[in-house]
Formats: sequence, structure tokens, C-alpha cells
Amino acid sequence: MNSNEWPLVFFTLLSQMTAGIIIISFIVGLFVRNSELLSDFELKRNYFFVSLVLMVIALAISFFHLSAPLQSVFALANLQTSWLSREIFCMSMFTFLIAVCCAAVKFGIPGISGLPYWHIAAAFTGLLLVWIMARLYMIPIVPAWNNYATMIGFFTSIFLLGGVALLVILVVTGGKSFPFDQLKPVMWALIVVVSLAVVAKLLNVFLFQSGISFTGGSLPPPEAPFSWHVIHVIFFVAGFFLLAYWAYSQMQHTELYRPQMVYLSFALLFVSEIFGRAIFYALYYRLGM
Amino acid sequence: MRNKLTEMGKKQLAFYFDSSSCSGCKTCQVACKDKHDSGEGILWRRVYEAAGGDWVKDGNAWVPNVYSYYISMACNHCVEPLCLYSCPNNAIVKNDDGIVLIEKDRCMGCRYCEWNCPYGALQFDKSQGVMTKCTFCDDYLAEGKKPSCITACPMRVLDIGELEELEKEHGKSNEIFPMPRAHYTQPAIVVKPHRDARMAENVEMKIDNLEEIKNEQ
Repeated sequence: MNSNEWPLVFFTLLSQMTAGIIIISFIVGLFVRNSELLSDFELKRNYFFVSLVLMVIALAISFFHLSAPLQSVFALANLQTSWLSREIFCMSMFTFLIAVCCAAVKFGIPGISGLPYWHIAAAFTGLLLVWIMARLYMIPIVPAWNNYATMIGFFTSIFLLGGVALLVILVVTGGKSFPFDQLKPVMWALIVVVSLAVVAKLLNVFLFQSGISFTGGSLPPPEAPFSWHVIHVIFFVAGFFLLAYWAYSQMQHTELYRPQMVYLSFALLFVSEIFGRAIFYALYYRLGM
Repeated sequence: MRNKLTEMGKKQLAFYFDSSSCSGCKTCQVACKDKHDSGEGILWRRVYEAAGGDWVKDGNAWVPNVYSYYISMACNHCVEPLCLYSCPNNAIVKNDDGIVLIEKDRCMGCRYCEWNCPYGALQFDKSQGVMTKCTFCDDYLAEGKKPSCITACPMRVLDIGELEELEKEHGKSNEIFPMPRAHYTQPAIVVKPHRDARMAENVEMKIDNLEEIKNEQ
């Protein structure tokens, strides 16, 4: 893995996590709309603003990948054939739509008061963005990437990181006074989303393996350091079981149960995803010369 | 949507390489570097040493059956250049002669074209922060001269011509190991294969001089 690809690890993970927050919050919002819990606790404001900050950070990091960032003014010049051009366009649209949602929540700007519609638009753009991101890496001459493991892997990151991040926002927003009893459906929805992402991630291991075991290249396939694999797996298992334990314990309590466990779980899963993504980049090799 | 430039009636210049007579001296590689004064680690033209073989039983004895040959490779100025299609900035263009060129002023150094080229033609220049590649010595062509790699070759195994004419004269041969399958980019090159040559994606052969030719910038 080239050192110039580290910014891409953080850029892709942060933007996918943000897409996850926006998409999952929209889906969850559909189920709890009647109780108005989301607006009661200013959750909307929090997750839109957190999303905007995350996207700004992701965009800033992406510039570190470029060796001539000033020339990025031309980056939308080839929407016709370049997936990278499309990704940059979609990324800009996504960030803009999140900013509009923030403005709608914060200022209630006339004319953009229809927040649900902007939220739908942002969620749809987020989905489109991650699909384009995956297509960008599905290069015909790169066997390790040119399969649906890339697509599934990226969408798994959306729901894994997005789901846990939203849970963290929920916990941070609520604090001790949060009526978790009423918010159980939301929590369970998030835990189900994260669990499904975990299952998809495990199944995807086999699909990804078929891509990297291709033997028709003339260049030797690269290997990621063994320690990366160890950290990726151990942190993932620890993060998931900690989250599961917390969810089980929370069910027994009416008040918030040890929020530190949620923070730690998020940190473990995020670090796991960092190493998982680094392994993804490290396994790049192309057919031919 | 891709544009098949050759179908638009434009010329498509191509390299011809006679692998059967190449001695692997790498004069073409050096001449290219000298002409373009390319930086450390950058090789627009590279000579690959392809090698393979095994032991075969000859009577009561096992004898080595080894073979090797050379492939001199620069940018193939492909008919379907994936580098051009992938570049977000439109910094890669194909001119009227079918030559694929980089407009350095538009390159932001994202290196996505490098991922997409199966011939390793796109090379990153750390000192300039942009991608670089073979220009077919277009300045020499404008003066009516041939590219430096061709004129430098002591074995006369390199040449240029119109792709269609070269294919008529020598046949269509552009999938010799370690080259990839041609369908990815339709490379504008004709290779006269060595007698021991193997086809693309052969798993019994390897490149013997990877350390020498890889660009790690």
C-alpha cells in the first residue's frame, strides 16, 4: 500500500459513515415520526450537524491524496466517463444537501422548511455516492476489487459505522435524562441494522477472497501485513460483542446504561474498519504489467 | 460512453516490436530516459524479462527446459485508453495521430489513471507532482524523425506505423505474456512473438526483473 493512499482510507470511511447516519436516521425517523421523539430531543440538529462536520473533514482529508490539489478545479470535467469525476460531483451534492438540512433545522429558513424532503434527497444522494464509490474501485484489470465484494463491503461500512455512530449521537444527546424506555424501538432498529451489516461483512469475506486468489496476473499479488488482519478481526469481534452486551444490559434498565460501552464499541469498530480498508487498498494489483 | 476514435476516421499510430530478435540490451529504455530527462525511478519504456520453464525427463535423466524472452513496452496509445476514460480532469487526451498525451497543467496527481492502465505506462513524477507517460516523441514526429527508442535500438526490433498497416503486414498480435488480454484497452501495438512466447495471463511464467522496472514513487 502506497503511503499516499492513507488519506483515501479515512476519506472513504468518514464519507460512508456520514452516508450511513443520513440514510439510517431517515429510515428510523419513518418509524418514530408519531412519537416526535427525534425532534423533542433535538436529535435532528445533532446528527445533521455531526454529518456536516464529518463531510467537511472527509473532504479536507481527500485533498491530502492529491499532489497538485489546485488542479482539482477541473475535477468535474469528465462526468461522461470518469467514475472519479462522478464521485466528486456526488460528494459535493451530498455535502450541500446536508448543509441545507442543517440550515432548515437551525434557522427554519423559509422555502426550505420541508426538511423531510431535503432529508430524502440527502439520503438518496448518500446511497448514490456509495454506489459510485464502489464502482470507482471496480476496475476491470484489478481482480481484488472488480467484484461485488467491493460493493457489499462499502455498503456494509455505511450500515455498520452509520448505525453505531447514530447510536453514539443518541446516547450523547440524551445523557442521563434520556427516556430510553420510549426510544427502545429506535435503539433496536439501530442494533438490527448493525447486526445485518455484521452478517453481510462476514459473508463478504468469502467473496473478497475469490477476488484476491485470482492467479492470472503477471505481477505477484501483494499481501497486507499480518498484524493488520489481526487488528481488523480482534477489534471487530470485541466491538461487536461489547455492543451486543450493552444492548442486552440496556434492555434491563429504564435509564441509560454505561454509555462508555457504546463509545468504546464505536472506537473499536472504527479502528477495525480502518485496518479493513487499509487491507483493501494494500491488495491492489492489476492484470498485465 | 466511450468514443472509438479510430472509428471516427482518425489515424492511429502504433508501435511494432520484434520480440523474436530482441537481445534485451535495454538501449531503448536508456534512450527514452535520456531524451525526456525523466526523473528518478521513471521509465516510460521498460524491458521486461519474461521467464519460465521446468524439468523434463529425457531417458533416465531429468534435464532443464527453461526459456526466456524480452518484451519492450511503453505506452501503447490504446484505441480504448482506460487512463483517458478514468481521468476526472480530462488531463489525458488523444490527438489526431492517436497519441495519448497528458496535459500536465490539468493533472491533480490523484493517480487514478495509474490504477487503470494494465501496461504500467502512467508513471508518477514526485518532483512535479503529476503523472507522466510516453509521448511517442511527438516533437520528433513533427520533425519527421522517429521516436528515440526506435532510432537507438541496435537490433532494429522497434518501429512505428499505422496500426492497420502494421496488422496487415505482421498480423494482429498483442497478447504476449506479460501483456494483459487486449480487450481491456485495445492497445496500438503489434508484437512479433519470440518462439517461446506464451499468451497473456499465463500462470507458469514470471517477470524476472520486477525490482528493476517498478516505479515506487
